[in-house]
Amino acid sequence: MFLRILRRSLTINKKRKALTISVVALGTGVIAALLSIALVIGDRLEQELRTYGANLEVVPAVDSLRIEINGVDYSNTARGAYLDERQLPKIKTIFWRHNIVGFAPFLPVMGSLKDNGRTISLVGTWFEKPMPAEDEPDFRTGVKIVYPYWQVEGRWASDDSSVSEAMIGAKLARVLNLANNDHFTTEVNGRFQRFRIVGIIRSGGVEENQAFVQLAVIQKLMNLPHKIKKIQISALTIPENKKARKDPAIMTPEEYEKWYCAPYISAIAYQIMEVISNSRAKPILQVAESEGVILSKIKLILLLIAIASAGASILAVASGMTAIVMERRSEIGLLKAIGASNRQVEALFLAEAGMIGVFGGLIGYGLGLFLAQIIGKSSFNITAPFNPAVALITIILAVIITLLGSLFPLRSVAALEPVVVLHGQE
Amino acid sequence: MAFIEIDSLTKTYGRLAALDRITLQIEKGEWVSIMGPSGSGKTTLLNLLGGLDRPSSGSVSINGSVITGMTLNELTQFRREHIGLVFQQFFMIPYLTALENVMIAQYYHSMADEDEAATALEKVGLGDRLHHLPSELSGGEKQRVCIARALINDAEIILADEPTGNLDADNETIVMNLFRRMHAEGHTLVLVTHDSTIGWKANRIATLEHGRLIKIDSGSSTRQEESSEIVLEGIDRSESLSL
Ligand SMILES: Nc1ncnc2c1ncn2[C@@H]1O[C@H](COP(=O)(O)OP(=O)(O)OP(=O)(O)O)[C@@H](O)[C@H]1O
Ligand SMILES: [Mg+2]
Repeated sequence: MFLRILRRSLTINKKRKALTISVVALGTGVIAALLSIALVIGDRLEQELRTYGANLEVVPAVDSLRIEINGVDYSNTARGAYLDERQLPKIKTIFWRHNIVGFAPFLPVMGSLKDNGRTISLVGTWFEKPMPAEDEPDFRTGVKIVYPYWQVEGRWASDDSSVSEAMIGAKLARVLNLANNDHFTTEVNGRFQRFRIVGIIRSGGVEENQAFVQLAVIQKLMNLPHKIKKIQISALTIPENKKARKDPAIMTPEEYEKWYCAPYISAIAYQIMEVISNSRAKPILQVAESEGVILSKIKLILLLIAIASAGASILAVASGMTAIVMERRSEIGLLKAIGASNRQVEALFLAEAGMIGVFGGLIGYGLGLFLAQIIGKSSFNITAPFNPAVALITIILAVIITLLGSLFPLRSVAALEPVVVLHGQE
Repeated sequence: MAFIEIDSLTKTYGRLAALDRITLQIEKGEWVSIMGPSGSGKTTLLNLLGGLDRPSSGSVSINGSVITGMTLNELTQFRREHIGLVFQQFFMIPYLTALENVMIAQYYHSMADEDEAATALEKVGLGDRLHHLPSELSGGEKQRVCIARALINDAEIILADEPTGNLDADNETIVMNLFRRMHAEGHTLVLVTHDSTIGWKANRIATLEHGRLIKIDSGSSTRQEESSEIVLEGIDRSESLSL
């Protein structure tokens, strides 16, 4: 009978209910959109933030004392310690290999231009080298992946050493008065090498004073086969807590286990040192930390928006339900006169509110998904797929919102004396 | 102590005394008509008997329970268990059909029984109006739905406010026969009416004027030990109402 009454009650207060449903739909729609986006971009968001550069640097273990000016190593590179380029693929075998977005090896040297004898810093590196990993056959890595924020006029250089291409920093290009498609010849280690410029780099950093060329070319000029000086890695990490900053050597086995199996930057650094022999991996801390801060701030903002829209919906539902209760005072009086208890009358209205919530939530999810596409496309270049869990959460949230919003209006149901409404109709 | 004990019952609206010190006893199984001009306080009295309203002073007790001292929830429960109400305005739930309007009374009393509800409506001549909404029913039809609803739970006490006011002669006969049968089965009936031929069918007729109980007459229906129950002092007992 209850369900029968409920079904019949669908036919009344249609306008108000439609209005209340739309309010709930709007409120939960915003929440559903945030939730859909948050879920899909959880990783994505970090990846976008990662565009601020590498967050891990790997150097030879003994080479900890270095003189570096403008990103160029002035310690005796010929005599110094090196890492082995052939070990690089191992980075993609660590526990958190899927969190390794990319990495690039570097071998910096000084050269002098043949034309005018000017000294320039040449950096041998990978641009976008295919490096099939076990479970990522399409994996490519190099500076293009680690520094996606570099603005390149022209194109990225090829990793094919037979063509000797170079990308040079914008400042260097201005000083040398060089442009794309120009050639320059430089002397390194007593040998001459001619490069064709294919791209000009704007990064806002030291890179603007450097020339990036193929790693293999530098190795050959320097007579340092497979040698590299450092690796920069872009890894997805979670902000570290106090525990994660502890020295792994003094962790309890459980602590160690937990730490090792969390994508903390220190854990990833540790795992990289395990696979690259004689290496020291250190977080480039400032960057890593600010990423954590930005992330938690974004999460806080999303949460605040969600709370605000839930709160606004609750208030709007309260006003809608108050109107519905007022319009049906005589019905409430009659139900009570017939013998319905306060609780039974309230149950009826709560059930109606619940249905409003379910409908509102359904529409809200649809709306949210739509919003998520728009926001996702424009800000993060993603599409948010249908997610049954989010749909369910949205509907439950919508029901909770309508029930909360109904609590206040329903208090007047209990206080209503039947005669007031029944006699009042004379 | 009488089954229904009305003691010095007063209800005032501002300076207006809708009911003025009414004292009346009604025995179990008795049929009492309440008559009087419009505005004399008949509905007010019935509402107080049904626990829908609270008096300004005085009390009503039914079967030993002082209902004027009950909380709203207790009153609701009392109504649900003991009282069938027919309202003067034949209120119905607007979005439920005639049948469902009868069934909700069953539902809140014990449990809904569609067949029983349909039978009750057939008895008041509405067998072909079961699935009509109140807005699709005439005044008289609505009134009969309300009567069926009031009688459906077989309540001990039936309080009816002008139950035949909108009925034609045939339907009035049907409804009055229903009341007569309820009375014969031992239910206590309090019926408000303007129609003295209907009022006359009761055991006693109480007449109100300006909120006062001005006289009590014997009706045509006889009851044992009736004569011993006259209550009001200082009021003449007329033999019957003249038409
Ligand atoms: N809520 C109220 N506020 C103020 N006055 C009221 C209220 N309810 C009833 N009254 C007044 O109380 C008096 C008695 O009203 P009541 O409804 O009991 O009359 P009645 O005898 O049932 O009349 P009728 O035969 O027209 O139904 C009337 O004068 C009415 O105006
Ligand atoms: Mg009246």
